[in-house]
Amino acid sequence: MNIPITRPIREIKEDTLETTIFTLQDFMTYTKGITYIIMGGILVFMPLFWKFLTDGEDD
Amino acid sequence: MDLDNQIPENKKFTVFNVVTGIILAGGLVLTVLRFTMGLGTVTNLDNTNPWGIWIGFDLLCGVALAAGGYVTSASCYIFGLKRFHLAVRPAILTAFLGYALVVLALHYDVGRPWRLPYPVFYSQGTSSLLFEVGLCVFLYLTVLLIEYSPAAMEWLGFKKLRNWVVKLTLLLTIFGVILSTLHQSSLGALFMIVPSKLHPLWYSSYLPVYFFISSMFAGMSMVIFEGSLAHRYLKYKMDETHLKESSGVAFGFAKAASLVMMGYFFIKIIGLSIGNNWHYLFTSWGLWFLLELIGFVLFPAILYAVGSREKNLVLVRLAAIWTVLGIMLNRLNISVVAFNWHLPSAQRYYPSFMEIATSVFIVTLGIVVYKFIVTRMPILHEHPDYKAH
Repeated sequence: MNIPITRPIREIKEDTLETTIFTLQDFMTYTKGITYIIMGGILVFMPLFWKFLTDGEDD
Repeated sequence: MDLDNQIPENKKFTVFNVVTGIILAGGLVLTVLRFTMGLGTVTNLDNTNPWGIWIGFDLLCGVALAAGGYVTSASCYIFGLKRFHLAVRPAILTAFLGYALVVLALHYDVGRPWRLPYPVFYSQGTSSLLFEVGLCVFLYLTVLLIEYSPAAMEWLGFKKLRNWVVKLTLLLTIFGVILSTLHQSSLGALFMIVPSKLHPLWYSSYLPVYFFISSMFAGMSMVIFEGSLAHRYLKYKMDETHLKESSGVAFGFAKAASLVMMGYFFIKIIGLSIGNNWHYLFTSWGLWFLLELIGFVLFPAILYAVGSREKNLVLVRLAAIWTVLGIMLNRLNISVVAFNWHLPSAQRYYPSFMEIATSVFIVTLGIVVYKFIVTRMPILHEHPDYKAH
């Protein structure tokens, strides 16, 4: 996307639906947000996987 | 029955002896070439690519696959899982030989073998990760030698000394685990200095964690793989306990490896997410990365899980071989394939035939020494004069 550099950053962010990353703060917020969602999935999956692994064991 | 002296009919010209003989003879010629004519004669290494398969395969894969020593002894002596006791000696022997061969292979890469003690005793580079790796490997090789020595002492009949060394087992195990934690992770940390050379899919600030965690399931897989080979080719050296309980060891390690591999798979995904490297997945490098991660981590983890659940030994052994190959692929990807990935192919490193032959020579040497020891010393069986410690 061709973004004119004279426009305010807030306006550009609104136009690009917040996907353009300008600062380290933006980057960390974005990547950590995705990572937390993945972590949530892992927290649900791993106990189920453990149950699958140990199901029916007598020792 | 005294299994120590039970060696099958001695045939000199077996296929194994002939093939290993040819490889060892060729390796000796290459050794002379390497140490008299220099690196340039036998390798494709240069200033752009100073580390080749002697580091990527012999060292990185060797250290990872020798992790069975600390994993097995920690399971048995620290976590108290005594059913793994029969796997301790073969695992310690493999680890000892693995590390000894790593040091041997390093001589080929570094040269000037008489200077081997320098980094530890003469000129310590305390700010270097390589110093830490060197020191840990030196100390851990010593620990493994002491841990292995009771088997040799039982064979030689040094009863008093053997009983004294056996008392050090727990201390040596703890020391071994600490040293392994340090240097397994440091080998990964070595690559943190090259963020611009290593492809972003493999480069991560979590590399030390990845290397350490993957060494755990590499070690377990190697114990299962080696156990299946011993079961096939050295069955006559196994006592009843080993024959009866070896499948239990395989299922136990399969379950543990499956869980650790699943955890490893997810922390690799987290690494991708933290680095925001998702877009690389849709390139050819991404496909190669996915092959490694899904094909050689997730797939064998599922194989292990199903194999351990269904008590299917064939599946577990298949998963072990698959995992060992996956570890090799991972270490080679990091040190060779995805290293200097941005360079044109003319400047990339491809190992020479002589480099590959030298690596084959070193592995063969390990197999020959392993066979020599296992057919003579109480490794796959208990010596009749000694009870389990």
